Amino acid sequence: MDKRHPSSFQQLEKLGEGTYATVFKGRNGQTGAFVALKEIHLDSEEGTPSTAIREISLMKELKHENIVSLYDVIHTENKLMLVFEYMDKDLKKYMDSYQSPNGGARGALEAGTVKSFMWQLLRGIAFCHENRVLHRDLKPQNLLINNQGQLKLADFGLARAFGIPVNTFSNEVVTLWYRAPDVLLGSRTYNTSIDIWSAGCIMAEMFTGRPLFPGTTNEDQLLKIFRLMGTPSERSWPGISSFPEYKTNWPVYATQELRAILPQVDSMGLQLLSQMLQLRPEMRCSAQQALAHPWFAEMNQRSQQAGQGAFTSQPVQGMVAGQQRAY
Amino acid sequence: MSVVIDAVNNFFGPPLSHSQYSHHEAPRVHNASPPPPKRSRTPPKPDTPMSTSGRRASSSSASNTAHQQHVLAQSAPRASAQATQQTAPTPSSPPLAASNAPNPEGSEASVQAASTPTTRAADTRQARPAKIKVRDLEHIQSFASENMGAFSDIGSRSRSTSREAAAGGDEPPQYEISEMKVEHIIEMVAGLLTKITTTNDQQHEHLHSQPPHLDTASHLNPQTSSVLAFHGKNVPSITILSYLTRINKYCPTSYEVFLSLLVYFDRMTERVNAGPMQTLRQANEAAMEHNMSASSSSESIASDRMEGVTATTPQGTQTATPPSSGGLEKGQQQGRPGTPHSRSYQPDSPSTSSETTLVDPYNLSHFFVVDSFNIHRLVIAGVTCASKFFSDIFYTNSRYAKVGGLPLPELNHLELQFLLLNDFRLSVPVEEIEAYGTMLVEFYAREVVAQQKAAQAQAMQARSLSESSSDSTSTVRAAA
Repeated sequence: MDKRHPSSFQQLEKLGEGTYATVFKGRNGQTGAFVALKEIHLDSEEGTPSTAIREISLMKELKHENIVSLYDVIHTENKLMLVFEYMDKDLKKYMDSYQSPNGGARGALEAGTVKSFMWQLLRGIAFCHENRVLHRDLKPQNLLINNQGQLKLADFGLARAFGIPVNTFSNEVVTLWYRAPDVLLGSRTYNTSIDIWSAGCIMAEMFTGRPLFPGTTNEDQLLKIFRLMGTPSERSWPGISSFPEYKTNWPVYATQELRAILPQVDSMGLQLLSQMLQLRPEMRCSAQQALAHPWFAEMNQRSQQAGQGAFTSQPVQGMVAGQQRAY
Repeated sequence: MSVVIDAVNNFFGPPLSHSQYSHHEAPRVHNASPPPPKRSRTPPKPDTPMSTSGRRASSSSASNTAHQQHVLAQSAPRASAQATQQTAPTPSSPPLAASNAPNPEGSEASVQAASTPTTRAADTRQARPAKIKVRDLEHIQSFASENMGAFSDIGSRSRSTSREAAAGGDEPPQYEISEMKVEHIIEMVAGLLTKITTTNDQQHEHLHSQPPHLDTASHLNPQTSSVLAFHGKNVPSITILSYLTRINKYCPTSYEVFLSLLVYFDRMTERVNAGPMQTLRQANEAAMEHNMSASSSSESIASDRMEGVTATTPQGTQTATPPSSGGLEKGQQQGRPGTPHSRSYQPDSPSTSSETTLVDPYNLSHFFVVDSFNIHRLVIAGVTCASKFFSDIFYTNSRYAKVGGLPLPELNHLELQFLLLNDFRLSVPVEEIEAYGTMLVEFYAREVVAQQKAAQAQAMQARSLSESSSDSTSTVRAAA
């Protein structure tokens, strides 16, 4: 019973402040293990925030080594406290503080690190999609890293289950820079491919240390994308003219070579990247297909040797249990 | 579907006196426009003058535990729900709010429940059954009357047995309701909930003559007080259909929100009742052991109480009977397979083990049953939670409170209790939602058939009355 009481955790420094929650580092009074404590204020007008309801409901079902573990939910009448697995930092902070010993731009990661992080990111995404959950807010700030080099998906406040045909998808999802073109065009029938677009943006950003499409508005975001990918037309993208945000007066850009703006990426990596960064959602590869790409050959081989299916995305039982105990 | 009651602000009597929560003193705002919805849609504004009629509880209900005393009466909807379950082909399609009631008699319903796992196992190996896209209620009415045999109670039962025998020769179809209007789905949901609550209410009345055990309030476990938060002193004056229609008018949302209510009510029932079931079983085992060594007095006290319950149940001993020592374990095991989720719920061991010694195991107040006293609060809290989970369109709690006719602080409290009783797990696998859709259509079809048969019987009676008014005995025979 003790563990269910908020006071059984020693509250340490503040790790971050979101729109609906404050995150603290915490220490389990009994085991001494670190945790992340997400405090959610229960507003009287709003009641329990939908972000909290979604995050808790979905994360209770999604147990995977590349998804942050939710250990417990502690409630009082005016706040909820979510107890998460502790991670050292997020990918944004990690990149900001990284300076390659071989020179290169600040924030640009080593090719091997990028590959490892991408592989873990895609495994986390694949697991979500297999369980019919869209994350809908993938960005470096929501990917957590620990000192063992593990990467885990966090912040499922915008996530939602999919599968049953419904007409209530919002297009106000995903932080602008990582938002897929179909969503920017006003689509409300998007699917798993929106998470793949975000993953592609993140991959490029890890290589360069800079966001790939740092738009300022919805329109500007679209144009930044078109400048690289080429302005789509009814010929290259049948049906595009029926999107709500379709404009006839877009400047016509030619398609650029990815190689030209990402010279640091090997050709295999560029091939994978181009499969993720397709304008048309139905042309983007799935997370499973991305994991099967030859760029990940060594990762898949290694994980097979370690006795894990390469992308079966089964939760690793021992690990989850171990984490539970640690906390 | 014509009833839309705008004139409600407070459908409920005062909330529970015993719960720690006492916001009913808070002033209620009438006729104030609610805030606009959070996202795009703009439904009409609820004008909400007061309407606090509502039937008083038939017992004096000195304490709310008095009501909870009678909550075991949940098995009556079993017969219909269970039959439905037989025909739903996906892994988990539960009877609504009926799975955990102890059923020591080994009634037909329990036997059916026990047989479902095999049926399901067979299902998964076979090709999926036909999927019928239901257009509207008229569509259901037409295929129900075309195929009355399949939807009469007897028909559905024999259908399921023949299916087991033939290992899926003709699979009963799945019904896909995603293209139906939300209003139509609401009508079916309301029909089912009304049937369940009415049935459970009747059991309440039978059980009301049992004197309340006032000793329970002192050691309520948290789960029990969560359950009691939904229990009103009065039955709200608005029908379930009107209430759901009102919610859909002022807080429009997708159909899965309404359908998922059925899933959540089942899960809550199972979770809450798993604990007391275990306590009860342990107590019975202890009593039996005690009995073996010496003729015990505790056993006879226990059975006295049992008889107190059963004796007042004129027609329903087979459904509402609390367990007698021998049959209990069987009842529990049979209850299990019929439960909704693959996830097997383990009651929190600290609470159950510590409660075991404290709580009178034969006190039935720990059971959770959906009835007329709690259904409205369950619905509004459930819609609030489910909308936030499923839909990108949802509203503020102050709007849900106004539409639901209860004070905002109370809704906030109920929302949290609803989440707690569901263990914060609102995800519903697609297969489960689909199975509930099928179950709902089958329920509605059976109701249609039952109504038609009743109408036919009436017509027949009328005809034979006119034809042979001289011979009254033959009239009776014909009508029967």
